[in-house]
Amino acid sequence: MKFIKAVYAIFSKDLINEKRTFETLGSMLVFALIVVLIFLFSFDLSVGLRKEAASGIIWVTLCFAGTLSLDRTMALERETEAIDALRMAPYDATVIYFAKVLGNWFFLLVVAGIVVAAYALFGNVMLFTGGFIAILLMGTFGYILIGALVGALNMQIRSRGPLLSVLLFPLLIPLLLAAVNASSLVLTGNDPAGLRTWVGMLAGYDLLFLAAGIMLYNKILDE
Amino acid sequence: MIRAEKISKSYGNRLVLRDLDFSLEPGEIVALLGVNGAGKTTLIRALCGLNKTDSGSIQVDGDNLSDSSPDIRRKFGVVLHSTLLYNNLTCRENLEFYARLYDLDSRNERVNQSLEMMDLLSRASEKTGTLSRGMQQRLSIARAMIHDPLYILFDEVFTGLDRRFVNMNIELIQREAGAGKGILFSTHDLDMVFSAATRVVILHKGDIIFSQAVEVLDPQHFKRTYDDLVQEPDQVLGSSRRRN
Repeated sequence: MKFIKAVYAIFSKDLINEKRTFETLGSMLVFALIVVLIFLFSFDLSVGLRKEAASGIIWVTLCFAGTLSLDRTMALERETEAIDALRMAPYDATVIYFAKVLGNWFFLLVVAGIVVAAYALFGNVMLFTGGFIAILLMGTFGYILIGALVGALNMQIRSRGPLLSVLLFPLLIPLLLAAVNASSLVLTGNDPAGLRTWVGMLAGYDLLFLAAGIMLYNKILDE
Repeated sequence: MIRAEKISKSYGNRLVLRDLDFSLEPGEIVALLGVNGAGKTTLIRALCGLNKTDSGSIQVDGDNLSDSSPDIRRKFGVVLHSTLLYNNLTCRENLEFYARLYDLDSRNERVNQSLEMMDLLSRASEKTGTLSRGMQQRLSIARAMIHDPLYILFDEVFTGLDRRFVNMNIELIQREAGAGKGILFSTHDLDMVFSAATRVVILHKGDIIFSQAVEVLDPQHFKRTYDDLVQEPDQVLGSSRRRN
């Protein structure tokens, strides 16, 4: 119970900070909306093609927007070395990990909701289906599980920006492949067997990244 | 009691702490002196577990720091040169956050007491980032003490505070030591040593070269010889360095 309270304390502290500055969500939203609108208005696609392309465009957008959040939330802890105070709290460092996962996932889901709504509105396609939302939840969760880990590593080596992407994107390739294919299949309604395989892979990667986060976060912060 | 035995720490090829023995007892106020780069910050960070040592052991009330449950960290309050505060949160929100993190009872009461103790009650609703360095440092002290730790470690935090607050903090650490807390502070201010500490320890190149109770020292003589002591310890102390 104390563990959950501590996770919630760090998460709500990040929300208060975001409410004051709107730095993370602001930059993510501006970036994500520009990307989606450029994709939509650059090509004169039919409704069917827009639906087929939705999966790739939305995941590319979320993938890049997510790095802004991951970089910003760890920079917040590094600014005044507050990460040291968090590490002095009487908990395992996984408290910080779960709080950062929760916070970044929340920001990414807000952006995902707005991006999908914008794509549906301007692309005139129906994207809000149960299956697609479930895959968005699973995919973004996996992304943040590994992203929070790499974000901590990035903080420890005192780098900002490019190195996060360099470290993160290669690790994300299998997850993104699964997410893009599963989303595409669920939107087009083709190949239910293939869909099950991709969803299975997505769930597998989520579990793998969760285990990696729990095992490695302590070690990363200790170095 | 915190007892460090034969601890060593290096960064790359640079040995920062070398086979160092140190202890801090409840009720004791230890002033840690030494030139920049002597290893004071590394020692403080090692004693509370923020930095892992390469060798040696640190025991806290008989428990090995590296093997113990994270709950042992509740015994420490640490004030470092950085404030460890969130600049966009108000003074009150910062302290409330740390009170929640430590799962303290009567949080509002504790937060108010801490703000009052540091004379920051009237600035409680101001964003921390807008405060002066001295005020941020006072808030940082309140943050470190909000969970009533048994050992309080200060790393050169009295720099930047005006005389009134230095005196206020001297009173505070003496009161805390009187209540059985162990206090360690690093400083370059020799006046602070003689007004607050019960023991003085000098670090030189990662080793303790001097450790004496303040009451047996002659302040004037100590102040006169201090610069030579930290620059050329062998000449001042002789080849067999004085240790307690």
